[in-house]
Amino acid sequence: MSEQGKVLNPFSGEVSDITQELSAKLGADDTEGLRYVAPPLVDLVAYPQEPGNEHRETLEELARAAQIGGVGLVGLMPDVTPVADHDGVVRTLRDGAATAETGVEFIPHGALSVGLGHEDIAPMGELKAAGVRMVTDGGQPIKNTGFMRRVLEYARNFDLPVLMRPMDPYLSAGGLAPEGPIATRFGLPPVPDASERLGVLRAGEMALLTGAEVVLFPVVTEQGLDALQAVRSRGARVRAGTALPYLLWNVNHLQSYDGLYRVDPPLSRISDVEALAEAVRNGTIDFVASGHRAVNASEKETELPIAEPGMASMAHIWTLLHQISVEQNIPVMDLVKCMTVGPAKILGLDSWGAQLGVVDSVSPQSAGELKGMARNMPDFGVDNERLRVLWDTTTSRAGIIGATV
Amino acid sequence: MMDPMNAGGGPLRHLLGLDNVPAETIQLILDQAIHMKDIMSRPFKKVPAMRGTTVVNFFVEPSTRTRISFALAEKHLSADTVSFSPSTSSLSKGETLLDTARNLEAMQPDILVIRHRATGAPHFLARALNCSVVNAGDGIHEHPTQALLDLFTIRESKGRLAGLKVVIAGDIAHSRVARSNIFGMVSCGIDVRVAGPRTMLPQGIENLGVKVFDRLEPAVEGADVVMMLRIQRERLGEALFPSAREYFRFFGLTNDVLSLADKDAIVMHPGPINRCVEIDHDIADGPRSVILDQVTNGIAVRMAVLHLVNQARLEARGVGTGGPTSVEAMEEGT
Repeated sequence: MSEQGKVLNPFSGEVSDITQELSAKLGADDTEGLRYVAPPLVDLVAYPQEPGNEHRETLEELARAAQIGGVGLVGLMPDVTPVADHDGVVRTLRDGAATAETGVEFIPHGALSVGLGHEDIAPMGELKAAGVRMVTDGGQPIKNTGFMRRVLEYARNFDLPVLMRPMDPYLSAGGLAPEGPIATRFGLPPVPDASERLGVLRAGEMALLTGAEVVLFPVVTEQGLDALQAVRSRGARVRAGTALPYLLWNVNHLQSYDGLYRVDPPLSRISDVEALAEAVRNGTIDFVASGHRAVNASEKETELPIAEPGMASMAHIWTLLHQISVEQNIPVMDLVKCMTVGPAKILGLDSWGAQLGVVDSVSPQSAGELKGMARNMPDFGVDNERLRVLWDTTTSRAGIIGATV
Repeated sequence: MMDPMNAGGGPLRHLLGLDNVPAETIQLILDQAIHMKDIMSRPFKKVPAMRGTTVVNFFVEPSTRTRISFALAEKHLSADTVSFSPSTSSLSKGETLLDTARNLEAMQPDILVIRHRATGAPHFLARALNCSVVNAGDGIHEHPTQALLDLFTIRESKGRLAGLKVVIAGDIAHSRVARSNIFGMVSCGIDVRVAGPRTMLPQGIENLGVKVFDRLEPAVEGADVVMMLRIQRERLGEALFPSAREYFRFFGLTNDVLSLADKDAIVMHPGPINRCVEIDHDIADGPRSVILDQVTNGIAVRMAVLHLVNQARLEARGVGTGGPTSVEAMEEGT
């Protein structure tokens, strides 16, 4: 471990060496191998389980996981029970971080339709007044394109970006692997590339028709990225993000039929992972999110088709960023930009966490403290116990974080 | 992408599928099955080869022929067996598959034979449990003992496997019989053709080393073996084919179509057959049909698989013998 640690400032783009002085202030001695110092991350998409499924994860546990992962601002999807389609649930979600006393902030995304039924438009004005900065389909694609049009028109009224899942729900139904030789060989129901492609094109056309700002998540295929370029070249306001698992794992991991690798949409081919990595490097992808979704062990230790999708990736974000950077040859700065500047801009919080401040006192967090928390994560060749994230406790928003990986 | 839990040329600890199983292992099983068939032809068809071995038949999806076939194979080898077919699978509400399987394992079986509607369920159990696992059909993935009995029947009839032309016709996309046969046949050097309407041909199937046809006639031309798959009428709602009548007219095996095959071609079907949907009466009951031979051979092949898996299990426990393969040696038990 002779590599010199780096201070990463994604707002200025500056990369500098970690000085002895900074290292000492962060309380890291030489043996700890402080690798990165960066602002707290913005994770645009995580799936909370409270209210409704507290047995999987409470909001307090989610806030602690975010702190361990080095995340300062967490965007929460609205598909809790009851759905975050009105201001009461939005406030519950927003305030859920407070009890953990971590300094982590939650920003709930409002449901775009009542109960996420995609039949009646949610009260977006009220949602915005309650602090919502984006509305979303909650990962459940809108089937009726006419309804999508009305939603986008109405969201534009309140300058709310609309985050939607790019897929054709009929083409993707029941799918467990991208369509092709591997799905055929493994005997897994396939999802054709055309599904995501159609999802991107449909949303892009509706963005053009309505002038609304569309955010697509997650884009996981090369074909989806290609369609994204196509709608952007026509002038559509479309931003796009992917989730961490799709930058590290691929469909070949499903040969084990291990439920831990069940994510929705399913893991892509190696060629898709490479295309996504390039899209992060060249800026086609605006943001990367964890897509964190905690479930119980018994919901994963089961037949692959009925395993609950999702990975509890929040607490491992810095380790994942490091590993993705190494395996996909992506500069860490590009990844960090996709987890700070990119998502902050979408929320209209352009300078959130921008000040790399002076460190006065530090509180270390370690993934080893995850006892009792959601563990639905596959191993990925890095000892998670080694991850330590150091927080500057003097500022709640702009703390410097040092990660030893 | 070798599956370490599978045969892979080593001892047959589990039989999860035929993907990546080398031809030598398949030959070993088929050769063993010849001895087993010999035992079945005797007036007292029982040997003590698996005496003291417990086999659990865990059928989470309905099955008649495979279940009975395994049960008879186990009895011929003197294994102690229990069969367990929950009325509802774990795909509905209730005890999870893992909990059920752990309970079964607590009863200390040596071999678990499993049929399940979820792809990968046997692989999941092989990882989670200590006993040996034999796949009796998982979802749309594999049905290895069916493919082995098909290979046995073909070899018995044709005297060889390599170089033969075999057509597999029907719903290739949703057929575990097709997948296992493709893996096994390609491994054994058979020229495999698959045929069916495009709604039933999965993307990328050609990467498994087969030729793909969207009409039956050109696929059957010059074939040594024509294997028809069962058309599941319940799939009508999935818009895979318009009607049984139209299917039979364009994809059913009739005498006209069969006349295009080699004059000595045999006709196979994994059963149960739908007469006049995928196969004509005359052919199903005709001289070229080996459909009932397949059923008989299924018992012999399953005896061979169970015996070899049991040997691998005993060897792993240090109780191993060199492995009796002759009938005489099996008479003495292990």
